[in-house]
Amino acid sequence: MLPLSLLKAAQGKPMMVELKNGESFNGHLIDCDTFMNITLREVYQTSADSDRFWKLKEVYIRGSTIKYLQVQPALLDSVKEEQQRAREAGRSNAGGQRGGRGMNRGNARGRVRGGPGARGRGRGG
Amino acid sequence: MEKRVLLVMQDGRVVMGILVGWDQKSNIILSECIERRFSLESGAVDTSLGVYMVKGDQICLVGELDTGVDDATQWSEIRAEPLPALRYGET
Repeated sequence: MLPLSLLKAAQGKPMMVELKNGESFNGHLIDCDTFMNITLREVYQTSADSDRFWKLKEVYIRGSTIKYLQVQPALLDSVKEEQQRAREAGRSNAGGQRGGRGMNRGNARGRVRGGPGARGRGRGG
Repeated sequence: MEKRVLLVMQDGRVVMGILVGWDQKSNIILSECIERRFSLESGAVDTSLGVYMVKGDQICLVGELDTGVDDATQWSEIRAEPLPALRYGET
């Protein structure tokens, strides 16, 4: 499972993010991108020495400042299920498609090779 | 995959968990995480942390954990200095 797919699946779910400077943020994930930049809503910020707290409506965190993030264990199961479903759907679709494309390609190549190749040999003889 | 690994972070934290996923940047997903805190005053203390996603640039090392040896060790009896955070060239 890719870390970014876990993060994407965590949208709308609560999570805890610790930054490299030791501060941590508890809130609901709103959005994320491939740099792991994230926005959280209804956030409790904790200072690095964990003796001060702030309540924030919404925060944006640059991905490169994150040390780690913690998500609910149930998320793992839902992502695994989702991936299994996607694999099964992909297999039944791609199976037919792959066969079809292969056949076409084979025929086209055959025709091209057969045409000029045969003529060339004929003239030479 | 799906084996228990030990991960040391650049801030000196030691975390053990089941390797669930990773990517090109060596960001790593661990499930059933346990942090092991060492101290000189008392034995090592384990804390359960759930599912962690650690950013690759914060990782010092990852290695497969020998669960047999780990379970057989009385970590609560072992006193050790906690690992310091990574330091850059002090000349």
